[in-house]
Amino acid sequence: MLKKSNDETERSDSSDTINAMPTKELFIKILTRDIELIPAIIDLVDNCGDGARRIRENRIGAKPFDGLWARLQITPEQFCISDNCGGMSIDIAKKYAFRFGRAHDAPAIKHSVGEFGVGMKRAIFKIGNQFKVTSTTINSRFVVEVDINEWAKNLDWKYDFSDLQDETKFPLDSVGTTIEINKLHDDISNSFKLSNFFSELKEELQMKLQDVVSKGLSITLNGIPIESEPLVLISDKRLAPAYRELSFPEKGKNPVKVKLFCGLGKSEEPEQAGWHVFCNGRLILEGDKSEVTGWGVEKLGGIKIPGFHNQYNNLRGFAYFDSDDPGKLPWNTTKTGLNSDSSVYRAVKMEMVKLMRPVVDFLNKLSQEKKDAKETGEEGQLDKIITESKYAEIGKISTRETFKQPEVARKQVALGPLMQKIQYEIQYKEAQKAKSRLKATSWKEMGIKTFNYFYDAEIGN
Amino acid sequence: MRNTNSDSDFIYSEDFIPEKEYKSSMGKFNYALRPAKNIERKMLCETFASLSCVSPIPKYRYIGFGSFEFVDFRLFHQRLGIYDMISIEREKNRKKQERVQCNLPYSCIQMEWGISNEILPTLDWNKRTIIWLDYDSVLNSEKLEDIRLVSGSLKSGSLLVVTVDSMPKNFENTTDDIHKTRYIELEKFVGKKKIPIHVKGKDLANWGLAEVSREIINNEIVQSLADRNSPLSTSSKISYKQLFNFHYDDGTKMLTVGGLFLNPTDQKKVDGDIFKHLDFIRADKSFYSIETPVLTLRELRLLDKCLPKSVIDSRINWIPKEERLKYKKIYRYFPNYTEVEA
Repeated sequence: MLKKSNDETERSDSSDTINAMPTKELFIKILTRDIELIPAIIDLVDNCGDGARRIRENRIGAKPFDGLWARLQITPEQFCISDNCGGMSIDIAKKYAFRFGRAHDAPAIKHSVGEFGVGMKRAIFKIGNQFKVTSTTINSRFVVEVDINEWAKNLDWKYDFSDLQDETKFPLDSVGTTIEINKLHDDISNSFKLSNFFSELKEELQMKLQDVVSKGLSITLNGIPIESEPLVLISDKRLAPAYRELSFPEKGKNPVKVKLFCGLGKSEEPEQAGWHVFCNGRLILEGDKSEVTGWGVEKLGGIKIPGFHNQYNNLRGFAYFDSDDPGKLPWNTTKTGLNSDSSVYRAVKMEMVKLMRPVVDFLNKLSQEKKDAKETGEEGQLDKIITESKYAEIGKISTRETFKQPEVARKQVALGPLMQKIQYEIQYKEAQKAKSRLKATSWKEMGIKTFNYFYDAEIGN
Repeated sequence: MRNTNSDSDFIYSEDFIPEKEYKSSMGKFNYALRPAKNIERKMLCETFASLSCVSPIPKYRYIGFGSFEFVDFRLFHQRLGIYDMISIEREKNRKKQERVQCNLPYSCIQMEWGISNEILPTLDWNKRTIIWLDYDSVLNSEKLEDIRLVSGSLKSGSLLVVTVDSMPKNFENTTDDIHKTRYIELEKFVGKKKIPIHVKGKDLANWGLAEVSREIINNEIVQSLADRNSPLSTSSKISYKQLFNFHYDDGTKMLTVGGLFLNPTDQKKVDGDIFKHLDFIRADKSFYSIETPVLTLRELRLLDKCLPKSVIDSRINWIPKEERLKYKKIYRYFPNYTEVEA
């Protein structure tokens, strides 16, 4: 037998072992199918956020990431993301950053979003066929440049540095990482030709990364700044949201801390209705109205929540999961959904449903009130409280253990004779003439007057 | 009565609508006196005629919102010989429907009762079509859905025209920044994910809303075509060539945008720019403003005598120069208003 220089070939040729080596195809063409383009791009920006978390770990205050930035420059020919968030050391590059999957001994960043060790690689493969990563720290710099098609032909699972400078001082303003992707895939390049794509990406960045943006990380998309949109709830005390804090485990190392809010928001933003779920500040689910967050589930812990309906457009739930060990959080690898099998999530979901039920009850009552108001023409009292309420950011609102319906004085139902409502259509011109002759100020008044006229004349008292 | 998705905007004659609505919209919808609209209609008609290099015009179908006046239907039937015509009408009231029916000018117009959002998906799109979505309210998600559906359905050689109200709102009783309020209003109407990333609230003042509306409509068409084209071979891919970007103001600011849908074969037929003789054609964000001069009948006659050569003539110098120049631009399309018994 000829001597094979490659590990993989040797193993596969051996008579008493089975080849279980992953193929490069798996990473280049298969894993990339599980993620959409926008989440893949957000994964890359998440890495910048993690860089910020790492270098500003000890900084406190409202804007700990002040002065740090991440810039996306996207054209149909090239994708480029650069940041000044600390850079990657050569050691990290050699041992962890370019490997597929997180190694067990990889250094942890507290409260980070990157967890699985696939984001950057998967995003690069998703976008194009050639990449160049340049990273500078205060004392090192490296460049890795790879043509993925060439690399795929090779059985070796290594990249070479095209430039490497260790133990050299670099000025602070040159510190950071730049990822350039060229030879974009056709479908990706076509997406980058669409203005709507950028509008959607901007909106997604704004929603998903509000935590890091609000902490001062300046993110730009082709020069346009991404602003954080604070989440708001009705601040009226009578409609204050319910709030609960949980910890799993209750005592011990690296717990998952959970904060739940459930209250009322603006009904004119129906896409925001439902539950928002965050893991380490990163928005995972936005306005979820599905069974995942308890909607339409048959009795969970004895509580039944109906399926979502637009009468619940005011409902807002916010669930924040935080842990120094991101491995404990209930997200999936694309960070677009939850791992609903997670025992932490299953326990929290029970609490979410408990918080939701009184809000659902309130909105049912509000809906009934609106129906009644249509009949009587009088403004409902609950509706009035809502329309007059102001909104405020979560965290700046006083909360309570459970949501309670505001006490409203029950309207006295006037006891009187049985009434009959009448509705009919007549020609506009004629109605107009009658109304004017009767000096009626409304159609209702005209109707009553015409009826009374007939009744007096033909039936009398 | 016009086919739009908002509830408050159909207005034609006094005995048609409740008093209150009529009064509030009087200024906006005085159809008889909308000269710019009249000019625009004729400019569109002249452009449609040029499509004969793609296919004979009588073979086209016209889809519009005829209302009960059917002005566009009359013009395109008379001038272009199109006889396959569909008018989408959202009016539900039977009496009003009867009036529409009685006003049908030709037997070849087929009525489709319902809102465009519901009707458009039910139509057969296997024929070359000229479709004019002549809305009279501002751009919103439902209109974008119409545009998306039509762009995804139109056969090569077809033409789509969209008209929307583009008057920036002035908000009373708000202490908030007007630019911000306008931006939020636009977000509410078209959705956050449709607003181009460079647009800011202050870009929506004056003709800004028209410009942004054009961009959003254009993006919707391009996006729809990208989705439609992605599985197709190069020879079947449809491209969009914008022809119209009109701004005009008959009391409210209006935008009309539109263009041709072409596969490579039909593209060749219109190459060499068959529209070169029409100076109102606009292929990009630059717009053509339809401005109507204020002139007496006598002045019109005198100016006509000088045209098309020049309106700089000592015999007519007493007519304001600005009005003369405006007239020169549009005189071929200028309406002849006379009082007649219809």
